[in-house]
Amino acid sequence: MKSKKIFVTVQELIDGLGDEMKFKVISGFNGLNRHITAAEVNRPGLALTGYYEHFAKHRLQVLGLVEMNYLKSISSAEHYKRLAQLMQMRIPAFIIARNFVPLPETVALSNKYNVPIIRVPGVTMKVVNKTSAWLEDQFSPSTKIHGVLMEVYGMGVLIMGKASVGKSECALSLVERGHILVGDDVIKLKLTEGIFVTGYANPMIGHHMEIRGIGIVNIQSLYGVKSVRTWKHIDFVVTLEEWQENKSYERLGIDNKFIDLLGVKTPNVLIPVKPGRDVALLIETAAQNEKLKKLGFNVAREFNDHLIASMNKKNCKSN
Amino acid sequence: MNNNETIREITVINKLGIHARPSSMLVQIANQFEADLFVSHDGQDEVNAKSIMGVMMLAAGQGTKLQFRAVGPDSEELLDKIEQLINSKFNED
Repeated sequence: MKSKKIFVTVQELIDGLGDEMKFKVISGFNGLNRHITAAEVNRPGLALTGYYEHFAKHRLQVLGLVEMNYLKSISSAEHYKRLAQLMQMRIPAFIIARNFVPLPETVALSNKYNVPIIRVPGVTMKVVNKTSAWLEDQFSPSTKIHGVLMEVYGMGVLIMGKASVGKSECALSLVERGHILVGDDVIKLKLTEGIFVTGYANPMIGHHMEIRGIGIVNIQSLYGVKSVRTWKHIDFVVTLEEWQENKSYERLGIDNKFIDLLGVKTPNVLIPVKPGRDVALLIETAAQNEKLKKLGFNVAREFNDHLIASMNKKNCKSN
Repeated sequence: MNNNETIREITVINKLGIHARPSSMLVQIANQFEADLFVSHDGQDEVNAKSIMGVMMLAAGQGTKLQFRAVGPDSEELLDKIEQLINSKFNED
């Protein structure tokens, strides 16, 4: 199910970042379906002077103070020639920073070759950083999984397990105790900044949950906005499974177990479920324990070290 | 007949003694049998050998002589298994 986008269209970029960055498309409207295939953005400085070798034509081209002043300094014919050459390379779009007004030649070419020009008020470096961070995010690997994502004591807990093992009921119990629901049933996972696995609620499902016997409930309207959020980095995974009599479960917690989420080794706690076990309480405890481990305290290991030390002491005495 | 009591003394021979990992192995075996299992040393109070915290509490280091008492129909087999486990040094040394 792991998937990776290979392109985003210019229109998608505008939809995603336009409001925040105050994008304004001024020309080349027919090219809004052009594909951006790289997360990096490019400043075409040298290409404008006529040097096209290694020119990063797949990237968004950001025109800043330097580029705009350079274009002003050359003759109209030259301007026309150089930009036409760039636009024929099928670059996705131009972004003009600092709200500079493009020269009429640039606008005419943009409409002729259908390369959109987007004006942005921000300073060039800000525009470059913001845009490439957004694109990076779009191009990072993602997947959809079946589970419930909660925030428990600040820790992102992904609860997994077979259908009807009681994931939703357990989540409801956690919300009742004041913890926060991110999403139920279908969670989108995304690798962010190459190291975090971030889970998002499905926008269609939102904070609705299906509870067997009751039906669909809305956590936000039942428990208030304090009980919901839309995304969370995942700190560990809880796997719920029906208690099996002859299976031996973790008794110590000295060795950490892990599960692979989008290539990230994520701690995994297996909790057997049977009537009478308060699973929400167990998850709260696991969350606090994982938090301690994250802070560098492994309680089980410390306990064992203490035990071994005391046995050594006893042995020394008796010898 | 159903409440056979078997008593056996077993000496701990692995270097680190019965710390967390050996305790969990011991408890895991004890829980596979119907018989109850108790353990003590130096005539101190018995602990339930099906409880991991109890077994760890013994702090039984190398050389400790442990008295095991199994009660139940399969007490002999249980003690055989326990003896095997302790003599295998818990796959440690």
